[in-house]
Amino acid sequence: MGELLIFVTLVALGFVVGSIVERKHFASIRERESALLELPTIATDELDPARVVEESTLVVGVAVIAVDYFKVVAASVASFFGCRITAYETLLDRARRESILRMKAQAQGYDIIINTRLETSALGSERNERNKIYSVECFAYGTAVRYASLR
Amino acid sequence: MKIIKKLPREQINHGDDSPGRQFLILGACLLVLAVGVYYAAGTVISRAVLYVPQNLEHRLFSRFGLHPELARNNQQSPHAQAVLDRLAKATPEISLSLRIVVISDSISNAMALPGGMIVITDKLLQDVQSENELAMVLAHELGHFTLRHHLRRVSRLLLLPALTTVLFGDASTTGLVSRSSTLFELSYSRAEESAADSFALDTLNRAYGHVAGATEFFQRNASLDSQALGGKYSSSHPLSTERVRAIDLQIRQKGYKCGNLTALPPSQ
Repeated sequence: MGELLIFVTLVALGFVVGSIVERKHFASIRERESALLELPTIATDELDPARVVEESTLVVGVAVIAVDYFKVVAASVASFFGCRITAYETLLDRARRESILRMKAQAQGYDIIINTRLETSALGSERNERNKIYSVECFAYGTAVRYASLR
Repeated sequence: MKIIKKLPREQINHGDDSPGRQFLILGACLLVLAVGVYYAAGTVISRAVLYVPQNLEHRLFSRFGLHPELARNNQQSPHAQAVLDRLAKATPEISLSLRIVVISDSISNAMALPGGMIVITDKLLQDVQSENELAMVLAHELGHFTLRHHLRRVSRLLLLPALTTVLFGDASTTGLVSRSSTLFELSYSRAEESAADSFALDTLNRAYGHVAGATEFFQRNASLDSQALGGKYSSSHPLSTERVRAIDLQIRQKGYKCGNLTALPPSQ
């Protein structure tokens, strides 16, 4: 009976705290996306043909976000039926957008980031056999380019 | 190429489904499914197990022995074996030879195991005050054996871990689940106990010609019941006073007589 109670408490805690943290993070993400809107990020290597490149450098953004207990349980239930795991979708969205924002933050003073790529991986730490607590790491990289100023 | 600066549209990559609601709905479906399968499988197994013939059971389980720790302390009791043989001879349904094993324990207990072994504790041998009382307890276990209760119990105990392993893909959740299901297992076995009592009474009468000694042992144990936590619901046997009442009722209904008690041999 005690084990069941602990389980329920952990799930409830994960759900409540996790939701609050997630909401706060999304609010911060939206705010920074608006602020960094002026710096374009594209996935191709197309440069403005009318301008000359003064400087270019590799910029990298990394975000690691942990999975809470509720997400793990919700995912295993959803995987039993083969449903979309909405709990993980928000997690990955946060990680991706956060890493892109951090990459952009590294490119302050540049005009554009080209050849942007994203890599996602799961970091596993097996606390015990049953609860494999993973965190998700998202890694965004691209080439930041500064054009020579127009005379 | 013209670059247009736009903020990402929110609801595309993670939708607006609340993960909490999805979890509750799916979790409820899963629970209903699991409970349904458990009861369906349980019913099928309970019915099927009644058809396991005694010689098949003997072939499957007779190689099973006691846990090494228990086996170290076991003693023989030729007298108890003799009583059991007498009861078995009086029961046409039994086609196997059954053996008695005595283990040392501080409480009186008796158990029928698959394979035709009946385990009793040495405390039980000390507590019974006549051969008839011992015969009643042994006949009760014989009842479980004949009615295949011991197989039912083993198979039900195996069902839950098997189900949880299939559901969750690993065996470590079984501890959590099996402990919360003990209450259900107990209530099922009380009906079995009453049936075994009834069988025991009939067997005692057939073997000894009378039913003296049928209730004395349970009457003496009635005082112990009140000490058990949870009383009626946590005990796997019906309360001793209820048992005694039920047995007495049957004695009256079937018109059994009381004769002289057979004493235990002096060595017991």
